[in-house]
Amino acid sequence: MIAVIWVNLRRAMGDRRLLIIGTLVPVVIILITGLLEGSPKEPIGLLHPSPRLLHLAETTDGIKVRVESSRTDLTDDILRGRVVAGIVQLPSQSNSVRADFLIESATTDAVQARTDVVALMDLMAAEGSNTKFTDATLHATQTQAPLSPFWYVAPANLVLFVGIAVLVLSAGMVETRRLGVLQRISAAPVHKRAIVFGQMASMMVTAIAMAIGLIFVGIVLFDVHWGNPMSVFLVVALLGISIAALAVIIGTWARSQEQAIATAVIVAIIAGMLGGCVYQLSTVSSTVKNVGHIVPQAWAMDAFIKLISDHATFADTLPEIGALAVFAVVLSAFAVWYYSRKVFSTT
Amino acid sequence: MQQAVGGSEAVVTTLGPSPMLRCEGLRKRYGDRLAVDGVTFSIAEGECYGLLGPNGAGKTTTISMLCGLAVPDEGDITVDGFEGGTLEAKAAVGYVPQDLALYPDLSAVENLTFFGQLYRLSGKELQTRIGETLELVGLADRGKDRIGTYSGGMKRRANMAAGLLHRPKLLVLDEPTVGVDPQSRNAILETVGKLGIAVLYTTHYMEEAFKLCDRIGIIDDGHLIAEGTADALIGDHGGRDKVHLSCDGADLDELAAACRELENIHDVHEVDGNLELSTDHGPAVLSAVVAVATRHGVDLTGVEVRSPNLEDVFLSLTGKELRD
Repeated sequence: MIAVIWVNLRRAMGDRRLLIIGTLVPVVIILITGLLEGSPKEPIGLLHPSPRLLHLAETTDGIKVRVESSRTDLTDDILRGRVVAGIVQLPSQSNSVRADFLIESATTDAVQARTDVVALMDLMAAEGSNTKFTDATLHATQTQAPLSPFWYVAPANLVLFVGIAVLVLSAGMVETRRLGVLQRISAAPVHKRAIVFGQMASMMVTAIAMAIGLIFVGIVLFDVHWGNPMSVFLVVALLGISIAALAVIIGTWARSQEQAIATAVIVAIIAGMLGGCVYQLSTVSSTVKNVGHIVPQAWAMDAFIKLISDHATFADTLPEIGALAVFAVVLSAFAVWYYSRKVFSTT
Repeated sequence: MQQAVGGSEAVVTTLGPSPMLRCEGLRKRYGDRLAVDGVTFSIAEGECYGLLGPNGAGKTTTISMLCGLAVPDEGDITVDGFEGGTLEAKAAVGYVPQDLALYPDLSAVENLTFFGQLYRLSGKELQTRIGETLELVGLADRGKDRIGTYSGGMKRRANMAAGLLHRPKLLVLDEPTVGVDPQSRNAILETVGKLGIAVLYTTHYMEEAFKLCDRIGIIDDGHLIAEGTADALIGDHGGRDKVHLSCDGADLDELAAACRELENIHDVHEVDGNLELSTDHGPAVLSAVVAVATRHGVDLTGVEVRSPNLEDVFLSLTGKELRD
């Protein structure tokens, strides 16, 4: 099995397509996306909003809000740049609206947010409410490092491009079959299961190596703090196994290298989109979000967002890790069964 | 040891005490098609056995079974005393497939390293074997070049090197010279000729089988229809020498009648305006034939003596030509 892994890795290293798709392209895209747009922000955090205020905020064009669960979370998000400002709706009589407007400093975004808040209060006043809000500037006593502008695009592109690059490797499996090399390997004193696992393990190693490389690039070039190392490793490893299994399935199914590459790219992009690599799943409808979780990429993105943005602990990421483990086991089992059934069926 | 039976009858083979390869009653069906039907043969240590037959005769299916790539529906295979298809049997076989089964984007050394590792070779021993094998096939100076940059003949030799690397006890060569230039073809045949191990050589080139093989099995439509040395097969099934007389505007009937009167001439018939004579020994009757032609005033523009070959054997046994 080691020999099969070695030869596949050696071939992968010499494959310019993989080098470009797996290293250069994601780094460039992370850089461009991060610099031009930054990571998607929800400008205004809301704490204890009344149903009416929340409805108005959600239905007013140009205003994006995020509901916070506590004042600590809201403050933390403002300080770390995840939201540019916050509204804390205070208890008041039924016809009154009182709120604190929190910012860290008067940035352009914060000034825009204040304008939005004024507009919201005006809407409430027009409906007959007595409105009043108080400006407050937070003390710049940050307890945690601010989020890198690349905090979302870095993991998103990692998940997306590891998927594309490793799935494209399925073309190599087709070539191995087409050249007759697989037949020759089968004539050697090697168990069939070693051949299957060797194919899959080489793709898994490629996926993990690529992911580790992109994590390293994220730390060095983009100042991304990936969070708990054990969780990160498990997410990467289990995602790698899942994608490698998917690559084996595509490589077994495809009849030509061209078919394998086309299928791999389509599957990887769709899975990436469903998994929140293009848009954050927190910003889409619950239906789309639920559908997205049929792919392992979604669980990996959830875990990365938790780890990077929320500084989640290992225990916090156990649900995502558990889900990824299920994907890894189910997809691997299917891949081994399908490969054995189809490729060795002539015997 | 073997007895060849012509026609459509199966070959009756008496297997030796402990041959390197022993196949008994192999049968393999793919769907409705019976690819191999009751094939029995054996190969002794150091013997080169040729399996001669046209495309689709069952050669590759037979090889697939004895290399452990396909499981026979019926029959037994023993390689070096081990049951066919087991890891021990596979380790004893060096398989050189018809396709160029190498990675074109890797060098010959890298390819051989990979295949050597599959046969449990490693470290210095592996490096030494790679050097020796590349030397044997004449690629020592191109070992570090990518296979994709090789000529067709060089690729074939590299393909053979991968089958020889682990020093197999039985080398299985599936049509190794198809599409190869004459120089590389000679190099391959020369290499096979000096190996000294048991070799199963499949081909549809009769001259290769004749030149290389100690014994030849003729296979057609999944049946082994004859087996023996080339000389024995030709002697038993090849027919007589043919003397071909090219005549220019002569009265062929008169000459034919005169030739029939000659001793050792068994048959005379006209072919495309010329005469063809059947005889036991062409060169022996040649002077008498020329004398008869001169006596009858026939101007011979050409005389050709052709001895029977394996093509004739195949034609005689199957009623069809061994196609290229």
